[in-house]
Amino acid sequence: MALKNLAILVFPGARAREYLAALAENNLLPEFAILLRAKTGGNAEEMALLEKNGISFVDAASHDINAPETVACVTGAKQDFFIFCGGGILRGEMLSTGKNFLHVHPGRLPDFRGSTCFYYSIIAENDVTATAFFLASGIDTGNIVCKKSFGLPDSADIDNFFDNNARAKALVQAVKGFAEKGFFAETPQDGTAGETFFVIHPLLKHLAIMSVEKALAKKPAAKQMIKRI
Amino acid sequence: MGAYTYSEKSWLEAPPEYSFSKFEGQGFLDGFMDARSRAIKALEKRLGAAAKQSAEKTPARLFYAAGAHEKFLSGFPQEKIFTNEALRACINALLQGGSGGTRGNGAEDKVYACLSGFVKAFEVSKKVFSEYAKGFRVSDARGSHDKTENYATLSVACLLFFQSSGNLKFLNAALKLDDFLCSLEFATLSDNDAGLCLCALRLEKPLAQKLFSEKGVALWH
Repeated sequence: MALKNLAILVFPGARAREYLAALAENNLLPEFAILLRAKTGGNAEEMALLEKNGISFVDAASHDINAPETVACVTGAKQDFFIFCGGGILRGEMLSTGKNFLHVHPGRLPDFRGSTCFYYSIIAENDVTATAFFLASGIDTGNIVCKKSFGLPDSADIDNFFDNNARAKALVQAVKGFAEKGFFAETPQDGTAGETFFVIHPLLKHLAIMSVEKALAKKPAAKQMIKRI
Repeated sequence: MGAYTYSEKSWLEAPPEYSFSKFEGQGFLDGFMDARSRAIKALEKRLGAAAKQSAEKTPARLFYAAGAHEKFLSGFPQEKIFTNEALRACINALLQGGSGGTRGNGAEDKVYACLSGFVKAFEVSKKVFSEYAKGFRVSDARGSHDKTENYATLSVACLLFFQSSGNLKFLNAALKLDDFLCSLEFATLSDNDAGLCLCALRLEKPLAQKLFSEKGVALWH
């Protein structure tokens, strides 16, 4: 059964597909979707997933999450809560629609804000945590819904595999709470705490991936999961 | 050994793209260390006779001046922030007291805030301007953005801050700044700029090696 008052803003790509698959697997599907167009490659896969899962949807008629057409679709939707699948930074007009956008950040908020945080937290703490939170005007500063820790990744292919998979698991945890309670339990963040990181330098990225590989190599059963980017 | 491509020429016109960088394994690490070692050797050669003294080109030798930071930090953030003055003040504070380790009071917070402002502006624009307004917005930045001294000094400040705090944001910025330094034509640098570049690169290498060693990954084969 589809969850009332919950929609998804589908930006075509692997993350949206991972989210839809995880939500379907856990019987936590939203009742409505807005499907953005793809700059390249089309959105046929995402459309097929929506149809397969019986989610009604509209065509945003744009590939831009901040385009007036997309804003109009969001404004016109009856749902208050939207799952955000990426596609850029939501700008003022979209954030002023009165809707709530649930995003999963690849880092433990408020400690790891900004970009490529999984890599930083692997180096700093041998752990990765994904945080579901509502988008606000400041970067990664909105109210937190839940955090899900994973320890070290079970795949060294973080960009292409682990990232979306971990985010999807945190999303499922957040939406499960919504399905059970009928609302999202939110906790405000300390806006002054934590650190904002920028795109990781390739040297540090190598350090993070190679330390994951090293840990995986100690687990014989997991060796086959080591994938290289 | 892989080729290290992040410090190629014309960095300022077309800075390298760091997003979604590819994983290339040990060959990448070897290429990185080789490129950095070659840059250090080339700078030593460029400095010529001064290279004999280059072993002494440490941050303490180059930057330390007792009490030089106090006036700047007590007034921070100023309406106009002059990069050279601000970075030297931060470096002095770091050399004097290891002020990068904590946040939450006085000078420590101000060094952190000041360097964070420079790092954010650099990460956004890939440039270091000679003057910023309060808030370090790139759109308000003024003056030249091609002074080697400012890139090298920011790198040294970031490396010292990382050394005392372990905050990876600053090592990350320094690695990018040092990519820029390694992209320069060393023959055209002044003695002062070459010395500053050498200081930054010499500081970076052991810090990177120590971090890799702590994670059990060999950076130097």
